Amino acid sequence: MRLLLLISSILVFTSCQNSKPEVSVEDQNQRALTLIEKGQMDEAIEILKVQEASRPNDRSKTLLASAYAKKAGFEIQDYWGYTVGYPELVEEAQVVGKKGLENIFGQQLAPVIYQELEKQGMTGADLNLILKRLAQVPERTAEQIELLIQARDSLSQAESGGARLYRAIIGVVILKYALSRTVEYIPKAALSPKSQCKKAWQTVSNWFLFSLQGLDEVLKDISIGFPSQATQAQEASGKIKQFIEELPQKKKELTGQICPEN
Amino acid sequence: MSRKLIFLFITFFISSVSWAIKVPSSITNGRNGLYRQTLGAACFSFDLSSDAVPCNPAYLAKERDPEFKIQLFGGNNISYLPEATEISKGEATPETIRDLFKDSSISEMQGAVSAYYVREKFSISYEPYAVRLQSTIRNSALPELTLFGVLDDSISTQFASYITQDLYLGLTLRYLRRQSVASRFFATDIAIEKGMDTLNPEDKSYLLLEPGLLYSPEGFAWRPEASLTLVNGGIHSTSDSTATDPVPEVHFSVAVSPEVGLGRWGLSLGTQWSSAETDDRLEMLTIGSYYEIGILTVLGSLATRTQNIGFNVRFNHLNLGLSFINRQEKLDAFEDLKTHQVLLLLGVEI
Repeated sequence: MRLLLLISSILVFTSCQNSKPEVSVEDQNQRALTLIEKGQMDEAIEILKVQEASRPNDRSKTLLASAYAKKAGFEIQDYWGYTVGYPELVEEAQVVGKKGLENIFGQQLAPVIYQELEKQGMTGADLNLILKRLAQVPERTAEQIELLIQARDSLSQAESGGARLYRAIIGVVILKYALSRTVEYIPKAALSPKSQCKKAWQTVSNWFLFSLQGLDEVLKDISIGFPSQATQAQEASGKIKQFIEELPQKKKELTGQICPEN
Repeated sequence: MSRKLIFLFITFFISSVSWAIKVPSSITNGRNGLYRQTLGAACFSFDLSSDAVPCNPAYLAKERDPEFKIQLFGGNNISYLPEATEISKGEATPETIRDLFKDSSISEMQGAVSAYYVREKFSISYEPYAVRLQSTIRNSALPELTLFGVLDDSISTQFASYITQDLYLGLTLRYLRRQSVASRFFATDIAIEKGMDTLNPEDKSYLLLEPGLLYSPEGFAWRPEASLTLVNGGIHSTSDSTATDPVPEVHFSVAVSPEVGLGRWGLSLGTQWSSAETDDRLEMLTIGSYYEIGILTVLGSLATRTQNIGFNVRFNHLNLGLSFINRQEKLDAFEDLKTHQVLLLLGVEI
């Protein structure tokens, strides 16, 4: 009898329920992660956007970026080939070889560009190294790149090195796309009729500018994730910025040479 | 192939960002041994000390023969023992993390070495090495890794006596040194410079007091008993609390253990109170049972989130046991982590 009383007292105790606690930042992040794993990216993005607006944190930013990335079919393990080489990429980003330029821009245009790059101290290495590395990055469609730009943007205010490295990885995919478009439009511009020459080279110039801006973003992110590489990355970034500033003038000079009025 | 690439990625690098997480009680509660694992919370209401000292020290007040035992205890994934030890000690490298995640998205392992001497009213036990590890990997877009590792080194002593003819009181004094890691991070967090700092290992000591009360009236064929035990109550070497601190628990249970057939059958119903546990009180209920006949003991327990069954054979000086543990723990508010373990006990009685 006493035993039954004891058992019933336990059961009475277990029937009591506590009220549910308020959903925390961490719980919201976990909920979003679960949705990402289930492939419900839009729902996850919605939650994380609200979270970022009201209670911003690096984890929400990173999860938001990963939701956009997953929506774009971007899975980080596909990009091992170039991610391992980030420190080298920083070094290589400063130096552009003549041979590499010829491979991209052709023998006619390469000397002009090489001359300009040389003025920035960007000589002494083989651009092919960078190109080989970038060649490992799979091509993405324009729609996927739009999503990846959103992913990159959602990490622009992230403070942690890990989040910035993720941003850099996404940035390289965008960079690859921009460089590919630059290279794609060069022969089109070279073969364009005189009347459309300037316009065609304007398109090349725009993609090249977008590539340089992308590279600059990657370098900034790397300098946060790899502080020992920060000086090198900042130097390279400075040179790129200078190049970007001088680009309109250089473009004018270049199109003057390639697209003479008569 | 893609999984291998994740692990390759993990190997290379290392971060400094992780966030607060709740460590499962199976990692922090410090209950090692086949009996304790298989019976779960039900071990507090049974006087079974085949591979460990009793969960409720008050049982020691009962008449028993002296015994000295050395035990080896381990579960599946025991091959991860070196990685688990390195991680818990804070000596992990990116290669350690890679090795840990190379085979499965979820890994759980445990292992322990212990020796103890027990006689009526007194026991002393030494567990120089007890390791528990749990790891998960989620989100292929950006892998998120969770790692809980605990390496314990403990010595404990138990005393027990009668208060009245039916009421027994016992006390366990336990000194515990715990090296641990509790971290959740993205793959890119360990891929940056100084990324292994993410693991943030802890090294703490604890002095734990674990009193137990047992009501065991004599003269009943069903041998009814009621047990009340506090575990993991005590003081820490530092005032800062960490995620892997042993969490105080109060266990209350009632049990019967009549003679049935040629052996003895035990059945218990227990509940526990713990600050770290769930709000759902039904989840705190555990039903445990055993049947002991000659050299064989079959035992098991059932709770909302665990289902365990095992057996133990004692033959001459040898003590062998095998258990199957099914556990479902809350990974977070929305996801459960299901683990299945096979535990093996090898013991020698001297």
